[in-house]
Amino acid sequence: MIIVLSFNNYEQGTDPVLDWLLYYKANFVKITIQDLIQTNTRFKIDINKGRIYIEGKDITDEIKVVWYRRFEAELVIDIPKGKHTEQALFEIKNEVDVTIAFLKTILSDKKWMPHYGSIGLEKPEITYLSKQFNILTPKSIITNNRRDVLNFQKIAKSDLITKPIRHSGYFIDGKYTYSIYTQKLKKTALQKLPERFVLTLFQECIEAEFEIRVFYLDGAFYATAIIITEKENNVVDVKLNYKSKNINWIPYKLPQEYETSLRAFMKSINLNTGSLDIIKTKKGEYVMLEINPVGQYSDPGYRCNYNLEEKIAKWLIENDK
Amino acid sequence: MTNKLNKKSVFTKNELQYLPLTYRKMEVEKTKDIEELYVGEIYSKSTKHFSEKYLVFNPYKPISNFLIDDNTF
Repeated sequence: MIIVLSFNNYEQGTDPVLDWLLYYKANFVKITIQDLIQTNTRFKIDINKGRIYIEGKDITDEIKVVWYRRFEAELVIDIPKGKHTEQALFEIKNEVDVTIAFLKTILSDKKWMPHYGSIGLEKPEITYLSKQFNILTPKSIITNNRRDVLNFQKIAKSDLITKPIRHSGYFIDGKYTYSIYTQKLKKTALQKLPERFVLTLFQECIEAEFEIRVFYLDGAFYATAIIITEKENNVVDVKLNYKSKNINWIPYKLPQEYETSLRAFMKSINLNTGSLDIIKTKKGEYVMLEINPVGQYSDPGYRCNYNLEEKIAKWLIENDK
Repeated sequence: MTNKLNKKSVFTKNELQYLPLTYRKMEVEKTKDIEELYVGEIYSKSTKHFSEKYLVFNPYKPISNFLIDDNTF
């Protein structure tokens, strides 16, 4: 059995794969956080025996594969607002976290995609760990003061960029919504930074020939070059150009040697899947920006006819044997 | 052209002092235009809510086997 750990609402990467699992009549079950905390599914974990029951049925041994898709991303607990509910909510979230950690322990002998121990890998770790595989990454610092930023700029010898260390979501303010994208900081703007601030990630700004989105699946690379024929307003975050008519998504073949290094690196961090952001620089070098173990793939995959959703479904089915 | 370069912050000047610098310049969009939020349009009539993926899944472009690599540029 394939167990899909995801969330209740539509998830652009997950749901089309589930369609393929249905098409191939795969034996799978999707479990969400809501299944654990709400009352619409009968769910039980026998702690002493390490067994999982759904609707009274012990499915522990049946499970061969675990597909992890943002299971913890959407924890919405619907309880009436009261004087002390905020604290209770905080505590429930901790209860859920501990339960999830235990679920991972019970399922530790199953085949995971991606492996539960590597789900939490973030930009700093990826950047740091990739060094020994000769994979180029941007010079990066996390700091809380202008002096170190100015010193860093001298080393980087380029404009700088800032972006969230991990992730930032949408801030909905009625009719308008605010969000954070990668921002370019010109050398002149650095002088105007406050002397001290809350910790922020700074990276050298790499002059890109174009960006490449890569979906990695168990040794295979599905790369998409994002060629922008006419750059608009000098934006650094390609996501801001997604709706532009000047953007072209083209299947791309990474150099074999680079694929070999990336494959070895992915193996070393125990990742059998991930969405990689890579820049091809004007000097012809490849610079890896980040790897998201549970990243998206539908958009580039769709535009390059990679049929990634079907490939993921087939991988899950193949490993459920 | 739909480039979004309207940089403001949802936070006040005072609040920004307690936040990383990334929050000082945020992109502003109309909430109803953000596809991922699923607001502002009836799903079945929307062209923006991925609904086409549930219906007829036509290829984005003809399959040409056109592949670029290092030697293309």
